[in-house]
Order: sequence, then C-alpha cells, then structure tokens
Amino acid sequence: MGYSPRVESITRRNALAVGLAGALIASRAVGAGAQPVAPADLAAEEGTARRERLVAGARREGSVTIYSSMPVEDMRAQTEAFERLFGVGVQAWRASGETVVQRTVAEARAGRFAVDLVESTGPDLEALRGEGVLAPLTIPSAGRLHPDARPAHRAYVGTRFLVEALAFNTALVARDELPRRWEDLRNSRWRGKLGITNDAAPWLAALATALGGESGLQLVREIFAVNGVSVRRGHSLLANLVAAGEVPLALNVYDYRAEQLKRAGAPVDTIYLDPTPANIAGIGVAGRAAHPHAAQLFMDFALNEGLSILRGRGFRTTEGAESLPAGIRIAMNDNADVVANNALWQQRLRAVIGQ
Amino acid sequence: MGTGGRRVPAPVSRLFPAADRIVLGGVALVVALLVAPPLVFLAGRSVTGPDGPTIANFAAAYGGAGAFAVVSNSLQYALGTAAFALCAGTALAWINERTNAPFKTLVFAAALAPLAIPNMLLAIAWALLASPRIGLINAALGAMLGIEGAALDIYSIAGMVWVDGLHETPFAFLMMTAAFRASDSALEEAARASGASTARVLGRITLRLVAPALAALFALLVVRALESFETPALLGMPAGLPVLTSAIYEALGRYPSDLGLASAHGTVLVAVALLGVFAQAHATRQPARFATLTGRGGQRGLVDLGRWRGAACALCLAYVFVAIVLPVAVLVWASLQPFYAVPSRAALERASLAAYRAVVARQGLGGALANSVFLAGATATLVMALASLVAWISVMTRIRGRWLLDGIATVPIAIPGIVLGLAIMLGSLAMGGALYGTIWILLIAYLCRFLPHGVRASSISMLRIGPELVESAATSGASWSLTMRRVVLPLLRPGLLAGWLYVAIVALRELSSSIVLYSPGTEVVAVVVWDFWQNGQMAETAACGVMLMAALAGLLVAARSLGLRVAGPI
Repeated sequence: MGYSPRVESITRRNALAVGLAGALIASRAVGAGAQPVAPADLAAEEGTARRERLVAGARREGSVTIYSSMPVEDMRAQTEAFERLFGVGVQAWRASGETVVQRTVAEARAGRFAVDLVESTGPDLEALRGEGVLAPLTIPSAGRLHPDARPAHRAYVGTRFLVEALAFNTALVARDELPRRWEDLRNSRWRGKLGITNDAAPWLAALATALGGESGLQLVREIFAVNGVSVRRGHSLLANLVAAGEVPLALNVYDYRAEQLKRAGAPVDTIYLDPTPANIAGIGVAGRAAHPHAAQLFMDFALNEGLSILRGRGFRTTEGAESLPAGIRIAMNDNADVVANNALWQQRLRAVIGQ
Repeated sequence: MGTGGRRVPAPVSRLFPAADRIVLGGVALVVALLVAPPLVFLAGRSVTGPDGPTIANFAAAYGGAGAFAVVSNSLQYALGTAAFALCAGTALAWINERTNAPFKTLVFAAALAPLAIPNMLLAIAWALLASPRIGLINAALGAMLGIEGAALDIYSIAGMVWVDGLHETPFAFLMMTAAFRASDSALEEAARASGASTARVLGRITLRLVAPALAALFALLVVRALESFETPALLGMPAGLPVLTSAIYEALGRYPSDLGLASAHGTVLVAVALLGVFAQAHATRQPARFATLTGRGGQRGLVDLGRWRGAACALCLAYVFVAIVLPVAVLVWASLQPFYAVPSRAALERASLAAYRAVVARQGLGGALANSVFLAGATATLVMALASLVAWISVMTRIRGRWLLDGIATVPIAIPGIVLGLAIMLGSLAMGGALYGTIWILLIAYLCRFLPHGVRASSISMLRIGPELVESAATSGASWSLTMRRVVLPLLRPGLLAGWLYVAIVALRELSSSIVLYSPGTEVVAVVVWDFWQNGQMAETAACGVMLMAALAGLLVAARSLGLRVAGPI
C-alpha cells in the first residue's frame, strides 16, 4: 500500500537516467569490437570506457539473472530502467532472504550457476560470502558510498540502510510519554504495549553490543520482564499492526515502512533512541556468474542510477551524508558476528522475550 | 446381498490376476518414485548431524529447554484443532449427506469456500475480529452487553484451535461426506423401522459405521495441526505460546539452516500418520462390511429431522456466519483501506478500490494465473487418477502389504511443505538439475503433497462398491480395464469429483513448496499473494483473498449449473 506518492519522483528520475543512458549508448560503438574480458580484469577500469566495455559484453551475453529479497515492485523499478537503458533483459526471482540463501547455496554446491547477482540484507549476503558464492570486486563508483556500505572484503556493497526505529500509534501513545532513552522502556506504563519481530536476533545483537554487551542484554531482559512483549511475524506485519492500533509501540520497525504508512494517513510516527540499530541491504556478484559483464553492468547501474530510483521510492540509500537519521548514534550490525553466532543470538532473543 | 455377507473380495483379485499385477506394479512404482525420495531425505536428515549419524535432532526437537511447555502447547493445540474440525466437519457432512435439512447447496459451498482464503489471511482476519485491543467482536460485545474488558482473546490456545479448526473443517467435511456415502443407510432404516430414535440411530449405527474413517481422519488432522505454522506464528507467538513448529521454522530460517530438526519432527509426524492409516486399514480389512453400492437396487433414504430440521439449518447458517461471513467481511473492509483501521466514519471516507486495481495491474499476474490454473488442473487430475488406482489395490484386492501402499501414499501429508520443497530442490540438483527451474518440478511437488488427500478420498469412496459388481463384470467377460472404466469409475465419480475439486483448490493455494521451487517464469498465484503480504501491502493481500473466494464461489456455482454432481446423494 501507499506507493503512489513515490511514482512522480521515480518518473522524473527515470527521465534523467534515460537521458544519461542515451549518451552512453550513443558511444557504444567504440567498445563494440572489444574482446570478452573476465570480470576481475574490468575492476581497474573507470569511467566511460568501463561502462562501454560492460555494455558491449552484456549485450553479447544477452541477459542477467538476479535473486532478490527486495519487494517485487521496487526491484522491478530498477530492472525495467536497466532494460530500457542497456537493452539487456533481466530475469528476477524474488523470495524471502533465507530462501534466497538456501537456493543460491544449493545451486552453487550442485555446480549450477544460474544466478549472476544476489540482492538481499547484510546477513544473507554475509552468509553467501562465507559460502564463497560471491566474488570480491572493485566497483569504482562504490568509493563515494557510506563506509558501512563498503565492507573490506568487497564481496558485496550496501545500497540501502534498514534503520530499525521505534514506531508508535499516535492515537494511543502521547508524545510526551515517549521514551527518551532505552532505560525509560523499563517503566511499567509500557506493560502490554510493546511489540517486536520474531526475527529480531540481529537487532538484539546490534543493540546489546552497542549498550555494552552483557549490560545491554540485561537492560533488554529487564524491559521485557517488566512489560512483556508481543512477538509478531516479520517487519511488515509489525508496522501494519502499529497502524491498526494493535501494537501501541513497536521496537524495531523499518523506518521507511513507517514513513510509507504515515504518508498514507496512518496514525504512525517514529522515534530514534540512542543507539538505533541498523543494517545494510545490498548486492553482490556471483563468482561463477554466467553473464559476468551483464552482472557487473547491473552492479554499476545499481550503485548509480539504481540508487536514485531507490531514493525516489522512499528508501534510505547508502549514498550521501544525509542517508542516516541525523544526530543519532547508529548501532550498525556486525554481519560477520550475526552469521557466525546466529544460533547464539537466536537463543538469547528467545531468553529475553521469555519463549 | 453385499452388506451382511461374510464374503471377502478374494475372487476379485483372482479374476484379473495379470492385470492386477501390472497395475499394482505400475502404481507402486509411480507412488514409490513420487514419495520415497522425500521420505528417504526426511529420514536421512533426521538422523544426520554435522559430524555424522546422531539422535541430537530428536533430542533438540523434543528435549530442548522448556520442552514440556512446548510439547504441551502443541498437543493441546493439535488435539483441540483435530477435535473441533472433526466435530464440525462430521456434523456438516452428516446434515448435508444424510438428512433432509434445507440449503444443502449453500452448506456444501460454504463448507468448501474457506479453502480459498490463505491460512495467514484467515488468522489475521480473526486477530482483527477477536483481539482484546482492537477486535471488532469484542467491541460489539462490549457495546451490546456492557462487558468490561475483552470477552474474547484470540491470542490463546483456544483462539488458535478456533482459527485452525475452521480452516481444517473443509478437509474433515469432504472426508466425512465420502465416509457417510460409503456407509449403508439400510442398517439405519432397519433400526428406525424397529423404533429407534434418530439420536440412537446416529450414535449406535451411523457413527459406528464410519468409526474407522473417523479414527483415521482424527490422526491426519492431528498431524496436520502439529505440522502447521502460520496460525501458531500469528496467534500463539504474540502471547508467548511457542509450539514445536516455532523452533523448527526458526531453525530453517537461520543460516546455515538446520534441516535436521525439521526432519526429526517430520519423521515423527510420518509415524503418527502411518499409525492412523494402519488403524483404518485394520478396521476396514473386510471391505464387504462397508459396501453399500451392491447388486441390490433401491434408493438410499434420508433421515427426516422433523422438528430438528430448523435446528440443523440454524447450525449450518451459524457455521456459514462464523467461517465465512465474519472473516470475509473483515477482509473486504481491510481490502478497501489504505492501512487497516477499526471501522469509523473517517475510515469509511478513506475507503477505495485502489488495492483491487493494484492487484489486477500487477505485472506477471496473468502468467502466474495461467501457471496456477495449469498446475491445479494437472495436479487434481493426476492425483485422482493415481489415487483411485491405489484405492482399488488397497480396498479391492487382498494383496499382502496393500495397506502399506495406502500408507506410503498417505504419509506425505505429514511432511512440512517447505521441507518437501527443499527435498525436491536438492534432489533435482543432485540429479544434474533435472527439471530444475521448470514448471514440472512444481507439478511433482504438488503431486507428492496432495496425493494423500486424493488417496484418502478415493479409499473411502472405494469402500462403498460391493465386490459382486466387479465380479459380475469379470464373469461376463469384461477385461480389468473395461471393468474399471465402465463399472468402478462411474460409481466413484461423485467422490472423485469432490476429491478433484478439493485438490485443485488446495493446489491453487499451495505456497510453502512453491516458494522454494518456482523460478523466473513459473511464478504461481500464491507467490503473488505472499509477495503482497511480505511487502506489508495488507489491503492488496486482503483483496487477493476476497477475489480468490469469489472465484471459487463462482466455480462451485458453475460446476453445479453444469450438472457436475459433486455433492448430494447420487
């Protein structure tokens, strides 16, 4: 729901992108005779020459396949722009993050390399990196992105931030009652009013670590011991239930979703406590991509025109200083820790919520 | 002739020995090819850990921290759901099948219609109806009766039983419809002629005749509830009521996903399902006792409910109200709202059809619809063809171990859909990617998932055919295939059609295997609905549910007007 407010800006941005592409495609003939190049060989190149070679190679390859956990409409806005710009078809497959990982790993282990790119959240991409599915690549345009979006291993790049804010129902919670610090949530006025997602293990990891490890865990434990918490399945449902008045105060709603609901007129608003957990979602190229040029071209596109499209659709992109909420300490997920200690954090989450 | 005799159908299998052997071999082979790989996968994974063979998966599934509470929650939920669906389904089936109650077409359509609502949507609809905070029923009760606080709390074991019970009632209804048709009304008529009351006939004869079917159905309903995830996740989790599947789905959702835990649980459920099938096979090992379509002529009598006719009618309408009217009304309301809000004047002003337009305009919807319709039709047809052969073998022959074929064809009901999907995906990849990424891999998964439903429906229908009909055909010189085509299949037709319809509907709704196995180009409708849901587009998801229900209702009415008798006495 609530996509219409974004349409206008997409159209504007697309017009810009198409114009830009026209210039690029016009100069395509220069690189048309180039020999196929292995993906790593392209890393050092920059600017127009790089893109020309990628476009030429991508056209020879004909198409590109992407597995993604991004909402279909948001991914389609990008793939359609890509197809229009470069005349290279995109096969997109959408599933939940865990299914994307399961399928990609299963295919790779069976020696089937159907996927060229994977788009998903940080922990999913980190898992795929651990499996050796993603190739480390130097993408020149990645340099201008937020440092948290550029892990040193270069196996994937963050394109957007997922900021987990507190979302409240404005009809049920008075603004002057709102917590100012995490400690304020221990107040028994929140009894029976708090909600959280069932997949909050990365949130807990980021928050507890930023709050001092064991002391942070203890604080969360106390909050839930005093007030209880209703566990809801997934971020989307939790945000909707805040709007519906079923959950007065949710602890980890993606702020862009709350913003979408607010724009649609829902009685929802967000606050950011210090620290606010966040993570990246991004994109990586498969090491054994069947369409290496097209894959890298899409990667380049995703970090340039793609970011504009995402911004137009209300996402927090990883480009620019204004991409994260100002004046707030962000507790960025340590995805390597989340993946390596997944079972432990799941167990801790179960313990603090009492299930 | 067939009912009271002690005759067993031994001659039948001797009459067409060669054909029997060929059919048995062929059917057993197909069933084995379909069912054995995922079963072997399940059993193998359940006893395999990172370091080789282990029983740790079983220990983790049933012996973890707080295991007692988890197992206790699960059993209360599963037994409650099974009992609820069994009672509601049996009552509706009896009224619809054996009495002169009015509005039978309505009851039949109403008993099936909830099948079209995705499980998650039904649970959410009930959360919006009976949540202590924003539940519309609670608000209405509070206003009407002046009750302080909430009268109903959907976030409880009782709430989960209610929602899943309603969701499983169509399955119980169809199974029991077939069972009632399979039991002999002559015995009931004799009892009534001897002066027994309707209640006494029902208790002493009717229900006793269908007791094996009831027992097997109960076991299957328990297994289905123990395997279900959506309702406990949406209604149990917020209240801190974890069930066995909570831990299992969490294990599947994390990386690296722990298939061992899910497989251990699945293996136990397979054993329970097998036990149920064995119990039924044991109880019905003398099929002649259950045969009602015999060489004898005559009409089946209906129970005249007399002054209870109104009560039966009221019961059916009450069911229609709670199972359809209430949740559908909430879904329609939700589908008209940009975000869900309790009905009010302001909310009414926001109402629009935007969600319906968004669903219709969704790119790829046409392709998904075409894929779903193809898969539903092909699955239902192939499942019923295979199932009727399995039923023939298990009911009409005396081949040793025939119950096992029946059992093997039934146990996939206990394999969680996502585990089945993963097993088929990994199996296909291990065979060099055979069928991988095509629509055929979805068809295989669907056949495996829904064969059990077809087999149960066919077995119960098959029980009603008296052996003498088949014997007569054989002694008149008819071949096995001619007998099957001209005698057996026409007699099974209503049961097969009902089974076909059920399988087609549930195949249309199938998500948990599809989400793993679909590829670009083979998207199905359930995936589109899931995508709206996952994306937080509650109005669009609700609109999909409303449209699916409307399409199903249209289909049922069309089937009726085309003269397809899928219910009612034949």
